[in-house]
Amino acid sequence: MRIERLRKEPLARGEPFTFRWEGRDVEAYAGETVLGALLADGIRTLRRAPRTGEPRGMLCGIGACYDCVVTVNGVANQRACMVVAAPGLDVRSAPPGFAAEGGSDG
Amino acid sequence: MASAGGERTVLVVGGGPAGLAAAVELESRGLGVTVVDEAFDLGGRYFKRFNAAPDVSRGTELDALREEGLRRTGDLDPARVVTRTDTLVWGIFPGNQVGLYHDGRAEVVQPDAVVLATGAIERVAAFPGWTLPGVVTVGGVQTLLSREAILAGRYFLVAGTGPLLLATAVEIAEAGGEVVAVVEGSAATAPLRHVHHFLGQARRLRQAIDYGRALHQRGIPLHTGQMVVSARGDGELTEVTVARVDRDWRVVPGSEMSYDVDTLCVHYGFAASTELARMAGCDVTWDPERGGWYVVHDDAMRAGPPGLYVAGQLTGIGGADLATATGRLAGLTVARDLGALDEPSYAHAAADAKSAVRAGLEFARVLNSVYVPGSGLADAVTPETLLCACEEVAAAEVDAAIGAGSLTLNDIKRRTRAGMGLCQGRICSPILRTYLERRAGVGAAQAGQITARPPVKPIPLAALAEVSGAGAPTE
Repeated sequence: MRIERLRKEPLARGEPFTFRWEGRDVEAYAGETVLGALLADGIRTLRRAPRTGEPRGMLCGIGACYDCVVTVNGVANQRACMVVAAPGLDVRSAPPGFAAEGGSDG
Repeated sequence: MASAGGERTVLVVGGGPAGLAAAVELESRGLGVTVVDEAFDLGGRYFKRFNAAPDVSRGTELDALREEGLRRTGDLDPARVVTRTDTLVWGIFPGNQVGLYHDGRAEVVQPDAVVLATGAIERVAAFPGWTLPGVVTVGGVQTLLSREAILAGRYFLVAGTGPLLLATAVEIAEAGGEVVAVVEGSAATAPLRHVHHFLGQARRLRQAIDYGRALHQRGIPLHTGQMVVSARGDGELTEVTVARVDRDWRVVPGSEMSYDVDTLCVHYGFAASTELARMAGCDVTWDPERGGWYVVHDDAMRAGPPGLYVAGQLTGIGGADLATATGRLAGLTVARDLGALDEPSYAHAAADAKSAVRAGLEFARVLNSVYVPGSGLADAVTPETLLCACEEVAAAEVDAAIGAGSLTLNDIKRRTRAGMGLCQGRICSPILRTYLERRAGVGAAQAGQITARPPVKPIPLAALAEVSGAGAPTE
């Protein structure tokens, strides 16, 4: 959920752009991380744990836990909380070559 | 190294309050400073809280802090201070050779001195459902909120221990989120026994009262002496169960109650990020009053190996004021040791910083003894509960390892792979330590830490191969 006001003051976000999540467009604003933009879009499940198949998403949000890892432009294990959203970025749930079984649309 | 003349360079690892304070001292003494931070902006966890929408006022207290953060980053003279964000320090090797990684490229630099200000990460706890999407840390929620103005959910339960719970609940509510309750594991009366320690800390006391009042005004209940025992949801979090606990956080049977929420913010204190310090050859010691493992250092922040200094949470968990004081002191000592500051000037400035460090430590000692999970925290764990999220190691597997004689984190890692995953034990170490203590009576010092090895966080092998091909690091 994007906050429109902090302390009753409106926030200016500038113009939105889009990147791709599991092949569909997700809206983002300058300064947002991939994690932030996905959460704002209601997407909380970012992948499936390889052994148990459990859903995973954000845990620490500061780059320490690696629970939010996704594949960005074909590179696996990128922390969604540490990657700045950029126009045209191709973000996927599963590593390259794996079926996107974990990609939840929210 | 202490002789004057020539361009002396100092690498500051970590751009939070401690690292920035060190950089300011170093730069103003004419030393060449590089501040490295893994995040894409400076400020650390603390000053990041004030980055979003700089023209928005959050009240005088927070505004003053934000001003301070902006001043500290803005005051750094770009001619003397190089800031390298989005840059990971993946290793430290003998002779202060430091491995950096940025954008697909690794390199090794060799500054005259290194100040490690790598901070701390939040402790989480293992309970059934803790890995579900929707279970997040307090710090993660705060960072998202203040840096990106994004709220990580809609209906929140905030649970764990420490003053941060109150602050976060208020911030979530101010941003429009619904906080159904704050659940604090420590007993309500515990802080009162230490109230005299707050007397010299008027600002901190006022903050605590302000947050308590704001919570009350918004009708958010604060339940003390309770902890989360499970989280549930079909794929994503929908329900959290809490229970009353005794002083050791042992569950009072039959006291469970549940909340319907989509987000559970947890915080069980901090664990200092000592990996790089240990790799560099520094000694660490377990001290509950310093918040757990901390890096052994002298009273001027020298950490053992020549040219190596520590600051911030590595020297004891104690918040931003203490971090700032240790950062200043570390910066001053480096300047002195590199010949950029004469002894009388150093003695004068350092005395001031040292007294700030002492005051900060005194306050930290109280917080660290009041807001600390008891060993009952591990009682929420069932045999199926994962203790290591990365490698998906369940408690039953750890039980088997303990039964087979594994009583250190390194041994458990060898037998179960717990701590071997992408996070390299950062998240599971405190969980395993609490579990070992409860199940086997093994103390933290005996359990030890998982050995830190380069790279401390994953980087592409190709980048590493390039560096080793260039002949460094040696030995």
